[in-house]
Amino acid sequence: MGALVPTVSLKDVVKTYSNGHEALRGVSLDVSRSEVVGIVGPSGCGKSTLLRTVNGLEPIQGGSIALDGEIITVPGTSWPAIRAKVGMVFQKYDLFPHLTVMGNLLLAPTKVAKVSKAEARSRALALLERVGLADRADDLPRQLSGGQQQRVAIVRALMMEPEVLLLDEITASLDPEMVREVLDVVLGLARDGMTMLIVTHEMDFARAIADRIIFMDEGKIVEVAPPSRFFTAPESPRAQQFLNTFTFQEVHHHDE
Amino acid sequence: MPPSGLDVLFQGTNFLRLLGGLWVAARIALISMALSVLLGVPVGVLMTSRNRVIKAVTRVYLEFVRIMPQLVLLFVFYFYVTMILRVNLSGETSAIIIFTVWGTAELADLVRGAITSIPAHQYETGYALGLTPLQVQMHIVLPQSIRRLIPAAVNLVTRMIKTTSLVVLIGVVEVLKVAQQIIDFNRFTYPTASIWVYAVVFALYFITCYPISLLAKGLEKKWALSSQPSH
Repeated sequence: MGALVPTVSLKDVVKTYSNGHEALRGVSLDVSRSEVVGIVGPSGCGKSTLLRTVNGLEPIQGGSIALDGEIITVPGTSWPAIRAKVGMVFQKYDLFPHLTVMGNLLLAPTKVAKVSKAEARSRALALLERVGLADRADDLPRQLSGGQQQRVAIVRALMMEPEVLLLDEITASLDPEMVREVLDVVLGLARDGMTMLIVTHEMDFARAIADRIIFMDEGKIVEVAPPSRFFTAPESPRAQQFLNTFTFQEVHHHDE
Repeated sequence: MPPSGLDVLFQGTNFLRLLGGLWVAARIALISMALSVLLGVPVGVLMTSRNRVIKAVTRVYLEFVRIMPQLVLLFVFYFYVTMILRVNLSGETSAIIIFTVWGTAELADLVRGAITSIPAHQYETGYALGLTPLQVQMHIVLPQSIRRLIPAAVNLVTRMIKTTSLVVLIGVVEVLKVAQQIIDFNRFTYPTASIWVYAVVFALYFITCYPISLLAKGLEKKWALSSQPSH
């Protein structure tokens, strides 16, 4: 049955903040194993909120969310246990500043998953090697650049061997020259079959990595399309309008 | 040749008496600091409360203690509060009580600052990794708060030791009072004694406070959480 059950399944998810703001107004989405879903849309459209509902950082007010067919938005759910299976990386590279790179990587595996320190350490070194930071294991976060910190944050999420990875605008606070090194790591994960939900403003990146693009506006999914079609011929007027904001008219200087 | 004022220090037990006076000052500071830590930590945690009444009460307490000069607090307590309450307290006990009232306020504010300085996304990152709220407190919030708190708390100790010089005015015989006694007693035999005796008092305060101040600086540097601004 495994292949038919979506890894992540959202049904009519509603998120209303206590001030009455409706961030999600009935969102349904199935993500299958090894699928990469790119979520785009104007700021405030609910795309980050959507990610945060999947690991329970935002409790929902309506609908349901299932992980591997099991509904997790019911009372009594142990969120720490769910979150151990759902990796998340945020916009702010939020390493724990009082711990070394290795300390950051070992915390969750040893405290949550109860993996032995030696085992977690060898996995950490292998993953650091993969993102090109094996020599920085004993450094403190403040000694790393933003791009390096964000790569460590990705490795920290991978240490728990998550079934799905949520990436929330992970390059939005980086200097432009550091965006590439972070996105290359994510491209590598996609090639290895990691299931991912990616919220991003990097349209070229979304186009290259995603199997499907979800376009959101005002708390709803407006359009779902393969990237080749979404970026060349979006169907909805709002998606067309949104994509237009990323292109510029050439300015022609006339001498006459 | 007239006798040097420095000789006064080696007359009888004068130097030992000065050290004894320093110990009285240090004892007041250390006991007050210990009590301030015991009371200041819970009060500081209370200060982070969202309850408006608790917030207002702790705020008024902190501002009141900060605005009033310590000397005024000492006088009011030693001369009037004890009278109204009909209790008989020694100068040293009164000093410890007032220094504790002051130290608790200062330390509580440091605790409040250390806790609220931990950004919300540090908590969220911890939760997202599967840590329980208790684990987030234990492994992420507390270690960072303590790193911010301890250097500032150590600095508070030096401020307390310095401020103990005020208690001479409510009759406590601490290092400054002993110095005055020595000077007064030897006014005719050693007219220049005062400069030497005060120099020694200066040196004693320095020898006591400087290492503590260095310790605070060292800890602050060692535990810096974000990168130093580069030039």
